[in-house]
Amino acid sequence: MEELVLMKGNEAVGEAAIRAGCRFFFGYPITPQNEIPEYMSHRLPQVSGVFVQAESEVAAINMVYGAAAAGVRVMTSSSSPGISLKQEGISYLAGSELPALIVNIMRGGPGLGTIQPAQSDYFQAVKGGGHGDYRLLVYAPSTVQEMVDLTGLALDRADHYRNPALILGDGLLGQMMEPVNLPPLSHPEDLPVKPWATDGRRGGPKRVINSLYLQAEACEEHNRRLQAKYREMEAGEQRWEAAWADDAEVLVVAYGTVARICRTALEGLRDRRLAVGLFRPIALWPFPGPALAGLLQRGRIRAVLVAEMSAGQMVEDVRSVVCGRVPVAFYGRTGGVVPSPEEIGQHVTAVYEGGAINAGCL
Amino acid sequence: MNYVLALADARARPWLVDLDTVTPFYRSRDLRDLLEQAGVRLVAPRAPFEAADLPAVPAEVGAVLGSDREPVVVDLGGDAIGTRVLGAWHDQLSAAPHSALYVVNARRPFSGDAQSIIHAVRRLAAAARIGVTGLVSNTHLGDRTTRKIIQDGDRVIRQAAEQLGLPVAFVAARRDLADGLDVPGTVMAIDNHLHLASPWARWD
Repeated sequence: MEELVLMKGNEAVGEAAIRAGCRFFFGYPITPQNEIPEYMSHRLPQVSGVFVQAESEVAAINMVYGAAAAGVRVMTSSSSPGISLKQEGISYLAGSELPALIVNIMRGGPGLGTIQPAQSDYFQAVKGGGHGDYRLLVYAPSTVQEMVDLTGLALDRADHYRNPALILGDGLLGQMMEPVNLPPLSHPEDLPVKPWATDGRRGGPKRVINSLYLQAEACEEHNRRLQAKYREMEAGEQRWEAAWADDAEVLVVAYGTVARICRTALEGLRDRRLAVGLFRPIALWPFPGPALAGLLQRGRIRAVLVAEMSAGQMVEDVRSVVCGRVPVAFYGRTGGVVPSPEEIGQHVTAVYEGGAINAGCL
Repeated sequence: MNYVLALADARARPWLVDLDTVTPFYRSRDLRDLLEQAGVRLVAPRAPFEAADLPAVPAEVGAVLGSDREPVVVDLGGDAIGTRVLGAWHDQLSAAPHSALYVVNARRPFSGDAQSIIHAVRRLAAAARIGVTGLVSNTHLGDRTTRKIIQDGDRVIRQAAEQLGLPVAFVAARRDLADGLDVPGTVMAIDNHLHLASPWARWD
C-alpha cells in the first residue's frame, strides 16, 4: 500500500499506528469506532503484533498500562462512554509517565447518548477527565489524512514526553472514506530505546513504574516535575492552522469536522466579499492561545464566533484568550446533529452584521 | 446505490433492501428520500430505529426476497461480518433466481491484490451462505479517481475473478471517466459517484 488508498478514518488510525511502530492494541467495541479494533484484529497478526479484545474498557486501559510500562508502543480506542470508563487508567498512565495512544471517536452524549458524531468530550480530553493534576497531548484531526499524520505524531510525542496522547475525532471522521498517503512501515526495534521500561534490569538498577507515593512531599515533588513537563509541552507542542486570517474582521474558531464545515461556509462568504477567517486548533492541548492572541493583536478582528458540536466547551478557552477584547459568540449543535455549511454561514453572517451579538448571543 | 438507481431509471420498479447491520452511517437508508423519489422501494428500518445501534432488520425482508416479479437489490455491509445476516434467508434465496455480486475497490485495504480479494470473497460467501456469482470492478479514490486508477484496479480484480472462475459483471466508473476507459467488458457510467457526500461538500 505505498500508493494512495481509500480508507475510513477509523481504518486509517489503525494503519497509521502500525506504521508508526505500534504492535499492541487493547480495546472493547463501541460504535462509531468499531472499525479500529476490527482493522487491528485483522492487521496486527500480519506484523507479529498483539490484538486483545478485553472484557471491558477498564481492563483494556490497564492492559495498555502494562504494555506501555514494558516500553512498547501501544494504543486503545473507544467512543465517548467508553473513554469515560477509561479515565482512571488514563490518570494512572499520566501519573506513572507512561506513553500511550488513546483514540476517542466521539458520539453524542451525555450518557449513552447517540451513535452520531459530536464534540462534547472536549472538557474531558483537555481538562482532565480523570483525577489529579495531569495533562494529555490532545490532537484534533479534520481529514482522514490528518488522522494518519496525527496518529504518528501522537505516538512520537507521547514517547518523547513520556505522556499519554489522545486523538479526538468524531464519528463522521471515523466513518468517512478519503484517499490517504501512508508513511512507510516502522519497525519497533528501530525506535529509540526506553531505558526506564520495566523489561528487565539486565544487571542494572531496579526499574519501578508507579504512581503511588507514601509521603505528601514526595508526591508534591513528583507533581512539580509533571508540571514542568507540561510547561515544556505548552512551549513546544501548540499546533494550529489559519485561513484568510490576515484581513478577517470576524474570525471563526472551530476544530475537527466542524472546522471543515466552517471552511466550506467561509469560502461561500468570502465569495460574497465578507472579510471572514478561520482559526483551527490542531492541538487542543496545549491550546494554541498565543497564536490566536497574535491574530487579535493585529486589531482588525472585531468579533469571534466559536462553532462546535457541543453546547459550548472550547469556547471557554477561546474566551480566556480573547479576554474581553472583542465579543465572542458561540454556535453549537448537540446530541449528534451535524451543522450544515448553510447554518454556519448564516450565523457567521449574523455576527458579521452585528445582529447575533446585539441579540444577546454572547 | 447507483445500480438500483439505474434499474429505477429503466422503470423496473426495483426494491432495495438495506441489510447493512454493521455501518452506523453512510447507508442506503440515509438516502431514503432520494431513492423513493427515483422510484426505488426501500426496505430499511424506519425512524426511530434507522440509527439504532442494533443488528435489526425489518420484518418485510423475507416477503420481498421471496418475490419473483420485480428486481430486488440487497445492500449488505462490506465484508464477511456484514454479510452474515443474509444467511437467515438462505432458503428463500436458494429457491429464487439471483446474482450475488461482490463489489471490489482495489484501492481499499485488504483488496489491493488478487489473493486478498479471493480470500475476502471466500470468507464472505461462507458467512452469507451464498455462492458469489460475479465481481463488480469498482476501483476509485473519490474525487481523485483517474482512468489509470480504474484500469489498474480492474486488472487486479480480473486476476482474482479468473482464479475464482467468476465473471466481472461490469466496471463502474464516474460518467466523466467512463468514456475512453481501456477495460474489457461492460462499463456502467455513474452520474454521481458520491451520493453520500460529506456535509462540508454541500454549499448552495
